[in-house]
Amino acid sequence: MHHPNLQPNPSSYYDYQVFPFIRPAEMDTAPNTTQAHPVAIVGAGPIGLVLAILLAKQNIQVSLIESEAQVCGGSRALALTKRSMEIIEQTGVSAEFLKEALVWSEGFSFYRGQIVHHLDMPFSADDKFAPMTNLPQCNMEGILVEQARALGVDLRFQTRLNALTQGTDHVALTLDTPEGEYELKAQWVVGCDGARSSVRKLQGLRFEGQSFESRFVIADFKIDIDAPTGRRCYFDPPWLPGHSVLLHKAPFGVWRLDYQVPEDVSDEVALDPQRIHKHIQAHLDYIGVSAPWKIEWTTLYKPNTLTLPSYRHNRVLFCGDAAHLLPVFGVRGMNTGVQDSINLAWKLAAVVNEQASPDILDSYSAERIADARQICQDAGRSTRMMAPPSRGYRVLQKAVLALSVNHSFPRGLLHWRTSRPIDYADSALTFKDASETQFSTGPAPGAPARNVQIGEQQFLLDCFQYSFQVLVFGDNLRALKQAYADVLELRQHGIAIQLIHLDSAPQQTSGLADIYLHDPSSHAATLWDAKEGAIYVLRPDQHVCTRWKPTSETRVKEIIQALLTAIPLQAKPI
Amino acid sequence: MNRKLPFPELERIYDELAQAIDQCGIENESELLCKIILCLANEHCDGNRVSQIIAECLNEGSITTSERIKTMRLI
Repeated sequence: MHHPNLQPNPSSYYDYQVFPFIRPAEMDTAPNTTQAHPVAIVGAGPIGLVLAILLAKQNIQVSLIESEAQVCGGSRALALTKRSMEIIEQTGVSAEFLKEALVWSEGFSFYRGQIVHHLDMPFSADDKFAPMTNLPQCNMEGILVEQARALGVDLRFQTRLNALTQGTDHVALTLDTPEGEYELKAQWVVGCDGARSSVRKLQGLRFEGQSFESRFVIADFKIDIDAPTGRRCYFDPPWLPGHSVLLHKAPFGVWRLDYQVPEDVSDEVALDPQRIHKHIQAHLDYIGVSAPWKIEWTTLYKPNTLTLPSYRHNRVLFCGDAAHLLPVFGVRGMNTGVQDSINLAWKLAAVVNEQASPDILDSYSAERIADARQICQDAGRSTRMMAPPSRGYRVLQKAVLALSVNHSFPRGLLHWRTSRPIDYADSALTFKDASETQFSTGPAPGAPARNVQIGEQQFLLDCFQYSFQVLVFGDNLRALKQAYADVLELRQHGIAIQLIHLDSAPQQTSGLADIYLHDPSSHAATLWDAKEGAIYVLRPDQHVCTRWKPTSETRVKEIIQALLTAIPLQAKPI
Repeated sequence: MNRKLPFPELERIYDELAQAIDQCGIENESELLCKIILCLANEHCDGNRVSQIIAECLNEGSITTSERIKTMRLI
């Protein structure tokens, strides 16, 4: 029988709640008499929770299985990118996140007491969210658990996956609990159970890519330091010669120190509390901070650039760290995972609702693996700079750092290549209209939507539901009427789709759109390259499926139908 | 030294050089780097500038030159 830890995790800033085991109906029902659940998600971390919430928002019944009795211990994935916050907004809890979070946009790299690299991430008035938002993962999970519950997600804490068998029309999960085992059947299973994924192991799947030998201790400590939020990287500090150190400010008066562990130090020695204490103090002495402090949480971390070769294995899918392991330098772990969740949720819902063939799930795998591979390449570079894997890279790192003190040309090599939103330009679900050549700017097919401030504290993306969006720019009534007719027809087939009309005219005159946005100075139209009129069709994950100018005869319904049937590239409507 | 090489090229050279150092082994490392510099100097066609760069690189990492970034806080 599975007995997880029922003692609340220690924390000075998060009040851990122990979630009880609730005996499910399956334990008191004869085997083979229960119907398969539509979707079971294994792992109630941020990726599984975001996926469950987005599915629930589409009225998909979700069972969320978690082996632990509480949310994660420690701050873990601390930093969310702007794009991740836009995704969190779709779950309905971005305001809750921001209540306690710290936002930031700057990073500094230090070498021999000098700033050798300064990164100032752009923050436009059209961005609702800052480039970076820091909130400990336990706080994120707590908020997401509440939201999942509110949306009717069937949360099953204290439930460990022991076995998994794929059938022709379902997956059977053997689940262990404090009251014994039971079997749960689901049409689709998603492994969101992290780096040590049981789902991945039970499927006998292996990662491909590179594992780095270097290790980092991550230590959270409580201290009162009057310094702005941001990322600080210290190369070759006197207390840890030849190695790298990162310092981050978290909310609640907590700071995080990540420091490289020398090769000759074992994991056990690296995690010795006295040694960690000595190193934190040494770094505080180095940066001239003398305030008292107290340790919060520690862990050991090893950077990897690994991915599964496919995120779909028949009826089992993978998201987040269960699918790929990426270095934390550049905030890539959870930020990549939430992009998995928002990509998968609409496709899986369309399959469960029989609006799309299961083949569309292959596009989830293809799109997200392309992203993971690109990230592996970027992250590999930043990891090789942070923790050189060989003598050659150590020589180069030292040379670049030394040159960077006096010269600007090599400083870009010290950039940690922050996580950025992927572009699905090459996806089978991205269509290029014949009028695409008439666009010179704006979000291109495959790109994520561009946010625009459309009023005081009001942004374009605020209007987006987790559904398809059709954006009609301009006063072309024929185009608007056609889009309206198509949207109505698609809705009759149960497809969630929203029509948004943006125009510089002072008020809505057609009454056709679900939402009318007044764009008096054509600011939105300019950013979307739609001053002469344009139609954009966006997927529920806010990526542009296609766009066209008023000269095109393309219809919204054709695009949505093509997208849901995942027609191959050569059949693109050109 | 003004940056003239496009940045992606600089990144590529960084990786190639690191891998070349690994490949040649520690005992041949200095010779490899000297050969590379002599070849580049030969193609550069400006001996004075190469001499200047050698002198500059001898002092790289020190914080005495006028081009340095201003010393700031460490946090």
